[in-house]
Amino acid sequence: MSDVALLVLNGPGLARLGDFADDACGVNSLDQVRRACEQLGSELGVRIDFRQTDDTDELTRWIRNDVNQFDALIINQLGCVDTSPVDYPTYRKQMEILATLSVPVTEVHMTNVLRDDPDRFSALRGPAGKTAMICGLGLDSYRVAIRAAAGAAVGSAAP
Amino acid sequence: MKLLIINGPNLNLLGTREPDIYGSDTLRDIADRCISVGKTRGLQVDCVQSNHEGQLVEWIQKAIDSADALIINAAAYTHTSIAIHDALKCFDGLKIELHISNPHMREPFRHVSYVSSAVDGVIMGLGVSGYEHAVELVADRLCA
Repeated sequence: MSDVALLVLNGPGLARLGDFADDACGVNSLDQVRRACEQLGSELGVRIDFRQTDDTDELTRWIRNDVNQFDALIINQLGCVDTSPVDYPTYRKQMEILATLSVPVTEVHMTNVLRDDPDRFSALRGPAGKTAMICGLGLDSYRVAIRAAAGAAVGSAAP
Repeated sequence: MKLLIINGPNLNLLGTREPDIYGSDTLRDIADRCISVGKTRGLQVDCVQSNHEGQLVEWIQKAIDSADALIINAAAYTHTSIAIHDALKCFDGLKIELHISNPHMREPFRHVSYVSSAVDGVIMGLGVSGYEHAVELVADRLCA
């Protein structure tokens, strides 16, 4: 096991993934996502710290206080914009904290938000040149993000 | 299983064009690595590039009968080409849009993609290694 560590954050609504995830997404629960991420982490020899909260203040604290202990941040910001009680513009403003970070950030979505919700979607703004976005690949959105972040952290293209 | 990787305008200049954004690898370097990753997974990978929109459309059409999956970096045509969107809609296999940089972090005219709404998933901003990770993903799906 290398000393590479990745922080995987899941925002409001994602605990209730089973309520709205559809066949296109191919995922039944957030626990399924957690297990897939941790399994890939152990295959690649990197530590995965997988967290979810419905509290946007807590999410902000996690990013602000903890992210520098990790090699990269992978974040699924919001479960489902349509059913979430979160005030989206305010939340986006809070997430501007990402732009001040020094670690690479990968935004992930299991569904293709660019196809399904293009008017509402706007990408998170992370560190210049270190901000990726992956969507529409179900569980594989997380898996690609983890492989890429792990690969970048250990300095090889494809671990 | 066959994967076709289609690259659009100016990607033939990779390695020399704005290396701070796109890196120093050439498209040949990237294609060689993708072919090699595919070989280890039992996936035949072909990699093509053109600066001409119509050529990209014809490759997508040809893929309908000859490829199981597509990875497309339509480059600047991403933001303009309804023809590429329409052609992609006719391809039933796994389709992934790929960008080396993250267009959403760049000029506003790059924030619209006509490709995104015609594909299954999008990978952007992982640098040139995004190609290899996308090939791995296609192999996971098709060659497991």
